[in-house]
Amino acid sequence: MKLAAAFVTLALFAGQAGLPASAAAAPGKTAAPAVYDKAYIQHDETWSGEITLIGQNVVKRGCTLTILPGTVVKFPWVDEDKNGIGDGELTIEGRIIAKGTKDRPIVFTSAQPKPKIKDWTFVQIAMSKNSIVEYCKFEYAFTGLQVHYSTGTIKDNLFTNNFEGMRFSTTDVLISHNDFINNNFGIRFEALGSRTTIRKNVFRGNGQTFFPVRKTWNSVKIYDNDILDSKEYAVNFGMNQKKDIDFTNNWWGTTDASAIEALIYDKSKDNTLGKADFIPFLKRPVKDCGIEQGGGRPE
Amino acid sequence: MNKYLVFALAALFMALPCITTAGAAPEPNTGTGFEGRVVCDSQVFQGARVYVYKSFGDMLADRPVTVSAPTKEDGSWKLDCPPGTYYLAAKQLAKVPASGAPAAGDSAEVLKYDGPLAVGDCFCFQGSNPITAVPGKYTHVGFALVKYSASVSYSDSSDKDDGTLTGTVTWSGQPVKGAIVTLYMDGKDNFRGQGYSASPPTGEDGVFRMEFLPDTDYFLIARKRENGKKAGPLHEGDYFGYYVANPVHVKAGKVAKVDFGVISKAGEIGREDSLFRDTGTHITGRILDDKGRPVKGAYAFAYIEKVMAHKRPEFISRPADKDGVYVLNISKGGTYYIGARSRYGGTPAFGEWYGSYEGTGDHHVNINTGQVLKGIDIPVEKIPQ
Repeated sequence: MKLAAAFVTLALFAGQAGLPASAAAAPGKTAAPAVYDKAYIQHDETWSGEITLIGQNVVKRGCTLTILPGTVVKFPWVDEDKNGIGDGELTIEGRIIAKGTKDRPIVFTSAQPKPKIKDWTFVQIAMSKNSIVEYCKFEYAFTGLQVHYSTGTIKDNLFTNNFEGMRFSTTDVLISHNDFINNNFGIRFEALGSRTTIRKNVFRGNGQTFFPVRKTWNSVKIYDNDILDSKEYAVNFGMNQKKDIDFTNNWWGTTDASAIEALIYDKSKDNTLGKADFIPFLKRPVKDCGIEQGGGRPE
Repeated sequence: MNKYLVFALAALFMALPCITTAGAAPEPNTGTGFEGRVVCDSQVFQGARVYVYKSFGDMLADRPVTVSAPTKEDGSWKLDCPPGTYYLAAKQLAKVPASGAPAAGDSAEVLKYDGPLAVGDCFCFQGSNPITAVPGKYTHVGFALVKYSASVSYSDSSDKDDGTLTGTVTWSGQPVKGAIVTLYMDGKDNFRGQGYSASPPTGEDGVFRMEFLPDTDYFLIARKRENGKKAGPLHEGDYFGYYVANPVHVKAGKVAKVDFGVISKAGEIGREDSLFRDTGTHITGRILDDKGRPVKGAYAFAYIEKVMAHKRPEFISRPADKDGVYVLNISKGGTYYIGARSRYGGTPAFGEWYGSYEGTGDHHVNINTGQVLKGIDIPVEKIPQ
């Protein structure tokens, strides 16, 4: 083990940023150090306590990152590319097992004293098999969680005060029993044949709840959700979303079909777009929707 | 004497050694430049010249840095050129224009061979532009001339607010079915990418039509890919056309009609497509699966932005060979993010090979101009489902 090459550093000893982006991490399945600065994690690791992530941090293909209940992952504000979005990022190209509990959720958040949307970039799962994200809270990100080219389970999480709660493409994941509250976009997706299922989630107070950008069709299943209080549109088709999408059997907070239609931007408002089929719709809220109380709701 | 005129003459004088070499087109002898053959209707073409410009703007302004001697009986040509990246075109002008007084730094000797096309002239814009002159080598560049048969004609349209563009795509006088005409607002992206708008594929009659166009100038490019795809590099047997009289002014309330002869099949344009041309700056390695086996046929990509997915790469390799070996030709040194996948264009799909260089966490490599970076292996996996 070449300690000189280690890039992860205890904040107590480090006190500096800008360590080599591609330096190798010390191998071994050990308790995690507190500060990661543009880290390339090339072995299995387990995180607990408070973790600080600076810049882009990557878990290598073939490696598993386990995050224990109660862990708080913070992203300090750094914006090297001056795009107005904090650079803090965690990309998992291996596998992530982040399982919080009712009483001890895992939190991904801004390190700013006065946090705001886009303080950090995202947690991203890419080319991953069977990742698990449960009882986590994502807040103040550009996107709380992005999932691309992966399989896994996204369950019992709270996405709040993000620019986008979630984004996915070409995935086969289950997104269930989550709360999406007060995000600019609830879920943005470009499904491309994804067999992702979105059910038993609560969406409340999002600017645009569903944003299918393009190339999404009915391989994605979206049903049994409570879709409430969208500030702009509950469904907003991107300008290249030409295919119809099935949004039937969801609760829209009303039984007035015309009121629901008013919340949907699709073929009914732009003839070049596909249609969001929302009839039949549910006549009452979905039972046991949102974060499961048996496990606990992140506060 | 006017001080500006003194300056202009001084500049012209200082440029003369270069001008003389280029304009008089002596037998090339520096070892660096371009060579090739000019054809028209699949026949070698004698008497055309190849024009080398420093920028696309210079090409539009008929301001070459050097011009070849007329092509020989076998259509061949060769010229010297300092190392660098250039835009090349071939022309056969029935009437050599009487150029105006050269500006400072211009070559009177060179300029006298260049000028705007007239109906009846022949022209070919090299589809691989820009092309790099590699030190110590004459890079092969082929041209297939198309005759400028008729100027753009306009007729009244019922749509008074927008313009309409129509025409027939032909090759050797025959309609080309399945060609897509793409409109570009300028040449800054070297006519790659999606452009401003694209026509539906032409039918049996080779006719295309695009409506609701803002009143402005457009550069027209026609392509037909034998594999039926709408994007990606051209391959042997594909068609490419740069409209001879680009740019075309589309007028509101008018239907602009063009005769669009595509230059030729890609294989006849040049042996080296721009994406694969030898630039002297290479990134190379192998594309391997999770068991270390070569993935034949996968493409390697180089991006200039960290986020690789959903975007068009800056450079693409030819398909990896049976050993998984790929070569990325890079135009200049810098930082590039390296990935590989099965297909070109669109977002990766289930079951497709996909992966990134793993020597660095963000998948980047640094390369200097003229450097060959070896051993940049790219592990790929099939997108799980």
